[in-house]
Amino acid sequence: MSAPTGSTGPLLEVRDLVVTVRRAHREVRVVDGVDLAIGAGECVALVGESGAGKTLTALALLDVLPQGARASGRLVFDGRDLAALDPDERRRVNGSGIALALQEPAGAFDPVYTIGEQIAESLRLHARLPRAAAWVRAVELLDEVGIAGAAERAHARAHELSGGQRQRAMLAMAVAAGPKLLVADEPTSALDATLRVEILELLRRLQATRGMALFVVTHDLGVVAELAARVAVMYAGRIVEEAPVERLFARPAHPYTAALLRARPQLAVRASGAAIPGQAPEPGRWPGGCRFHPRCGLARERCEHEVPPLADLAGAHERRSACFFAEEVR
Amino acid sequence: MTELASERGPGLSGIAWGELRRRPVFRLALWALAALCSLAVYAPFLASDRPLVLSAVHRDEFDRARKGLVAPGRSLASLVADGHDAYANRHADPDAPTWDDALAAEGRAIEARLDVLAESLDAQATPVLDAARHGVERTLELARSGRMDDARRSADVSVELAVEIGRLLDPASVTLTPVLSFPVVAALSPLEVLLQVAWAGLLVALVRRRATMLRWVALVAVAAALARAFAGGHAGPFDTAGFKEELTSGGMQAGLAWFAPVPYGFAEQHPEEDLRPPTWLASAELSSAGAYVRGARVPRPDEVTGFVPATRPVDVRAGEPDVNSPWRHLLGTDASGRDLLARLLHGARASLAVGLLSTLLLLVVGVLVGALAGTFAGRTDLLLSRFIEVFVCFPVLFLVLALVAFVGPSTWNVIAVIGLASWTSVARLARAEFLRERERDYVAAARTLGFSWARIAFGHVLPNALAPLLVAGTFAVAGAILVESTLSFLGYGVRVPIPSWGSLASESRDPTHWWLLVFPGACLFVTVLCVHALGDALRDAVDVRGGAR
Repeated sequence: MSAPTGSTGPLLEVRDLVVTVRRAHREVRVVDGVDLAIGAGECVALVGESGAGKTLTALALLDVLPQGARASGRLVFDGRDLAALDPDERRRVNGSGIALALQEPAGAFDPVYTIGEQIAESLRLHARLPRAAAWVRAVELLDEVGIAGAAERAHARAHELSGGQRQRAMLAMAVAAGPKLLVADEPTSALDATLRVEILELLRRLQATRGMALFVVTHDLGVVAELAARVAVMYAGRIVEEAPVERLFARPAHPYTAALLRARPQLAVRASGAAIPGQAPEPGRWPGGCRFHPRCGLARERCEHEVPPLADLAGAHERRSACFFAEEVR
Repeated sequence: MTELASERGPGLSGIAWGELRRRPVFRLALWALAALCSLAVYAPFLASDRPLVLSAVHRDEFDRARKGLVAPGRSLASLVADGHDAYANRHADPDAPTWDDALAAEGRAIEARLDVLAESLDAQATPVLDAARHGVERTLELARSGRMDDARRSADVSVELAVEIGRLLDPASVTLTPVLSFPVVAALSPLEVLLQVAWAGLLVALVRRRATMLRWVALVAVAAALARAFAGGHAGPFDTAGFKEELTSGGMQAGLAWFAPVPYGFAEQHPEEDLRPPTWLASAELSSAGAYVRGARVPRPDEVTGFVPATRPVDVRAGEPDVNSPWRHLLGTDASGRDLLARLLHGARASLAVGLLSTLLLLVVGVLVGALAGTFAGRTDLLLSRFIEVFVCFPVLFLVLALVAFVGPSTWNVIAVIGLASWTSVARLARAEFLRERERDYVAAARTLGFSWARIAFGHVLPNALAPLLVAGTFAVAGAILVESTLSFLGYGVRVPIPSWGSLASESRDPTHWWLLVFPGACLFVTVLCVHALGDALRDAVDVRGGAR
């Protein structure tokens, strides 16, 4: 499942994505020049603290930014420049090309309709199925995501389901129209530990059986380790490191990544990890130079003035880091 | 899918319905309004100058047809004698009917008269009519195929036959058979039939709580209306067929004549009974000469001239209660001697139709504008909101009056004008609801699934925002009924002689004719009260924040 970037290029290519948000009469760059590529069938994770711009990055991929937020940059999906599509075609990419599993499954369903009706609606729109066939397919999908008694539960409304079932139903709705890329925004943050394992298992299964690419946005390194083949680490609106997952865990190439890994609670050591000193900067009030330098142990004079580019690491394939002193990171 | 779904627990609408049904005020208002609507829908069966069922010998009609047979026969013969070219020379005017048309018209006239004759005759007398029919058909055929000599001969034979029939079927010598007919039903328009069948079905479905029946109801209603449309020949609302006059004069001899409970048409006049108070009052008593017996209206000789105002005896027609029966004019009559109860029953149609249809219109327009403003916030919203604000600056009543003055008073115009003048409050409400709902996650989820804005706005947001809009719509019904009656009161409403409650109230402003003000006013009051009670109950039921439950 490691990045099969074929000759046709990646499934989704993001170039210089910038998302600005209006805040108190000021345009704030919350996502500041993100480059990313996701191959077909690949699983990529985007990790970072809250406020780093992960969720807005995910929403920008589907052109569903909230009121007041605007995105610029180049998105090429499946060989098509999304910005060049007319609005109707762009809209149709959502659901059938790229789908999103929202962070909060409780609100993702329209309370007026049953979950079956809503999954069927997506099928009728994208797969052009007639009403009865769409319903049958919706029940199959609910069964596929492991909802017991799917034919029965399809008649339930979202508030009648348990949290885990809701999450499953939402995944069923997201993958209903057979997207090539599923974006999962914090897929497990609303769940308790046992459910978390089941949902991650389900995500892996859905990805494998459907040959779907998966883009997981999370702050949870555990999720990354479970699911992803490749990781991009985001800090203060920028990607600071990108690497295959085992190598990132084995040897981080950016001080922020290293700090994140240290901060992770580890059972074996029986210690709650070391907190990263200082506070994550507020969007728009980013320090100059390397944005991590005020919290960085390796920071030197150069880091305060010069912005380190996200560059290929010398001698390491598929690894990129935005640190001048990547070699020194421990 | 729907059948399966209905086996499940109650949906949202089911929950709301259960909540509403527990409220006695709601149930009372609902039943009162249902009763009012029933009165309006079935008004022709309740108040009509036509009999519901009539089995009668149409003596006058028969005689007219008998005597009228010869004239079209003669003109048919002369048309044939002229021939095509001579006729064309004489009628060079391009608007004049062509020879073929003239022939066909005469043929139809004869056919119609033969039909009338055949209807009242038993089978043994019909061979001669059939012979006449054949003669006419043959004449037409021959004339059209150009065999003029044969046609001329045939036409002459037909004329002789017509004269013969006229002599043979003298009403004195033949016995006529009574014809069974349903004059009220015959006067209904297809739209009325549609409404009446649909309303009956709706009531049955409501009482038996079977939502699945509604599909059948709609089907049956449409079928009945189509049948009515194809049967054809329905009379207009102003067709005063004169059944009562003919029955009274003996031109029509009834074996059986069932009249509606109120045996008056809404446009039927009794000038000798003008402004008569409700007949159960002592002051309404009339002498056999038609003079009031008690009170201020008793005719007195003029002090100077000794002249006694003339009175006319009341014309009691067939099917009507006796002159001084309390049932004769239960709610009195207006200045033309039209029965007020009959006019109130028919007036309910105009008032309720205007109230409901203009509300439907204003809901559609308001929700559309509000949805656009709420969905495309920003510049569109700014533009639409300012437009609404400008619109609100005009008082609704003056706007409506001005618009009606332009388009002219008629029921449909009044509906359109009221609907288009008072959509703003619904639009603002819809806008607020849409702006609130669009922030919710399910809207974002729908966008990630690639749903179009129209599908999201009208398929997802609208159902969620529907409850407050329905409440506003209910109150709008009451408002529209009042605006309509104001218009009608001022004379700009539905066109006379179609009654509406507002125009009835304006018939006389003399307090001695109190019944003309009190009864229409009471109808309006009860209706608006019920609608408001309904709206209140609806608002309480859907308002979670109010904490009423």
